[in-house]
Amino acid sequence: MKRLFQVLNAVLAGFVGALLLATASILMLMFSTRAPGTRAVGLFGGVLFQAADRSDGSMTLELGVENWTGFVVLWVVLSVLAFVSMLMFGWLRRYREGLAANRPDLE
Amino acid sequence: MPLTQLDVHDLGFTYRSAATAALSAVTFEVGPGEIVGLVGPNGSGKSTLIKLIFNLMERQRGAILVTGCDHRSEKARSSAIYLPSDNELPEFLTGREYLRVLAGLYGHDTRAAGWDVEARFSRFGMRGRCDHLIEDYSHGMQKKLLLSGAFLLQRQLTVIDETLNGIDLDAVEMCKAEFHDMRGRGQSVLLCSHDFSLLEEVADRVLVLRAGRLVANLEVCTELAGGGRLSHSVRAALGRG
Amino acid sequence: MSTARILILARLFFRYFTRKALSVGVLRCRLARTLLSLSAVAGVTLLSAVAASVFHDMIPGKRELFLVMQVSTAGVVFWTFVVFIFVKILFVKSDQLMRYTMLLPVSHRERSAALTLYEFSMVALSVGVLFLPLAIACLTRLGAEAIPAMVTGIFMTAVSAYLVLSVLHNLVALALEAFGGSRLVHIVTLSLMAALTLWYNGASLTLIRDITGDYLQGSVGFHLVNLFPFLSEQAGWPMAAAAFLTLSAVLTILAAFTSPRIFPLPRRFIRVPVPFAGRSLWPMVAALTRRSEWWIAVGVAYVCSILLWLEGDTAFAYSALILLSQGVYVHSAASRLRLMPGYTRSAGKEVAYMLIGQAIVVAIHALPISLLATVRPDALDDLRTVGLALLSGVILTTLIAIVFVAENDSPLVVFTGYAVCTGTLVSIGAMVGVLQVPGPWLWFAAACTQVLAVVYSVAGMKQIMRWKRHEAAVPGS
Repeated sequence: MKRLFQVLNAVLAGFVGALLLATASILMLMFSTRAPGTRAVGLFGGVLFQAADRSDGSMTLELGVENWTGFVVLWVVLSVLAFVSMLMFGWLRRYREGLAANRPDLE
Repeated sequence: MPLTQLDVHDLGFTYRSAATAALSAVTFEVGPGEIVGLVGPNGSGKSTLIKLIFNLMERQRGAILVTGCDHRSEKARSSAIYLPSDNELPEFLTGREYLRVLAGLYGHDTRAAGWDVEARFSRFGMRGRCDHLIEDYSHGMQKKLLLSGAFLLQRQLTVIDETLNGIDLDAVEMCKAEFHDMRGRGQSVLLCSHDFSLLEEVADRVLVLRAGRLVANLEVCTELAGGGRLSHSVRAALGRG
Repeated sequence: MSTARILILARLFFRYFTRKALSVGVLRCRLARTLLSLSAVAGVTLLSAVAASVFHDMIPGKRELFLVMQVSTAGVVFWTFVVFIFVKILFVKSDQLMRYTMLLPVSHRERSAALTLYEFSMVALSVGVLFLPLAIACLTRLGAEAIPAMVTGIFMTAVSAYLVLSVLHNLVALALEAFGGSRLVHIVTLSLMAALTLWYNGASLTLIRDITGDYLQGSVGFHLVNLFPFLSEQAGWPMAAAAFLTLSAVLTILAAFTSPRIFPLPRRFIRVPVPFAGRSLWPMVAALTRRSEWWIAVGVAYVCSILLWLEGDTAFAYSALILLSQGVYVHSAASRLRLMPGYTRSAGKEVAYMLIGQAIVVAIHALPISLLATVRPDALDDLRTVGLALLSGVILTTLIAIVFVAENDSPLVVFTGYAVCTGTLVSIGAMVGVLQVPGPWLWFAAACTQVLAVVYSVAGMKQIMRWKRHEAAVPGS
């Protein structure tokens, strides 16, 4: 059960991390300078941003996820990273407790 | 009927923040129809012992049997009732509602004979207050409500943690009568109190705890024989005689 | 009345609430406190810099500054309302402290004066901090010339608004005391103040529009909240100061004379009949329904819905969402039940009882609002959305109640819980908006969030139970 929750936490952390990175990429594309109407992609082709002037003087914006595969891959990678970090943290804590049990003066 | 209502064997417990054990190798029994006092200085482990009996804290060492069953079992839980020293009652309920919820938790039929809340309140000098919110009860009245619950439910084992402190003399007299009736029905009471005169009147035995160890198991009749006083015996057991 | 005793008591209140505030969650850690203080200073500096840069182009002279100050009076009054209510709630939740002060050798007038001093300081401090960036930006732009406009627009407005609120509060309390309802003082006054704040919040948009309209037409109109800037403009700054001093003196005397003769100790519960006694869910429903604060939420929700309904707005159905404000107490409300002898329930069952209990209570009390929709069929669409939002809110507030356990009904913990939850939802909502996630996926994600909230609630409940049983023990010793 504990392991299941670790996996769930890692998946959620990975999802929020992927969401954050994707949003940050779009914001960076928004504020970077390029020729008007240029279609810009970021995050390994995962997100896109395009701003174009229309004949009536208004502007059209196209933004969002271009390729969901990239997003999902990023999610999986981040989830695995989070899970490995949790495992390592748990292992280090147990190691420290083991040391403290053998050497009470370390507490 | 089991041979003992409460059987504590080699019980040990250490708090996280403490260097020494709060309880160590505590062993005793409470038989059917027995009223046993539990005394000791503040911090001697009385409340810890009671909390462990009721599985409110995780036991670390030893064994506890309530009416012959492991203290964590459903049967043990429904056979015993614990009255804490602090009045942490659900104040949004009325006295009557509290007793009804309590009966529900113990699976006790409130239509059964003997379940007369009005009469119980009257005997405790609280006539007409059973439909008032507990929030409006005084400190003593809240204690009386706790006691009413225990006396109405009539469990095999009743553990009272200083609940009798702060109630009026009439109520104390009524409790003594109730304890007498409980003894007659084969029900047991573990009474944690600093009131030696009360213990002299109602208890069969008194267990003395000091620094987490059971240092004496005194027969009250024996101690009182020849004009002795329980307080003196306890002080002697604690090494302060 | 002894000034020394009033000051001692006011200091006691300060110490009590400061320590109470600092005993919540991460604030217990000195490092966290230092980091938060530094962040607050950095935040104010950043906001001041942004405001100064914006004002550099926007405020060419005194006339524009005058408009900014006039518009800010609407905000100053709103925040005075909010802080006033928050401080009153703090006192209502601190009945132990109030009971203790009754044992001290101080008269009721001295206690009231100390309370007023404390309340006033809190209001002044909070409004001061909130409007500090604006004040700094104005000072940077215009120098000492900006001071009169700032004093009339922020300081005088906040002080007068506080004194008016105090008198209003005292008058309602006196009326209730006269009709034998002194134990309901806090519920009724807080409900009225909360309803008044919501109403004012709605009205302030019109107020700002009117003030801006006057400016565009080159005139200065009187809108009550802008009394002092108006007087300053019409009759000069000394006249505004004289009016402020006179009004403050009159209101202070009125506040002193209308203060209730005894401090009404709060009544935390109301004995409302709850049907189906004996059912296993009944204690949970009673625990939620009998909290006096629940009835404040119900009162405010009903007043808002009726006002919106009378205005012909279909959004009246959304007033039911105010009921969710009490959801964060679902865990602490039933905490005494968990201490009852013989109470053993698994974490899953406990969470289920909290969810179902809260859903029942919210649904029953939202029913009158939904009945208003029967005569306004155009509001039925809104009603469906509100139903879904209530269901989702019940689940999310239960999770907050478990993650941020409001022990002793601490309003600070509740505030933190709501702030964290709102911050998280708004951030994720903004990210989802930027990423243009398709509609069906959004619904799927919302459903998953609800399921996860329930799963985490059960896990949190298990953790709380385990912690209670193991907190003191050394495993395996």
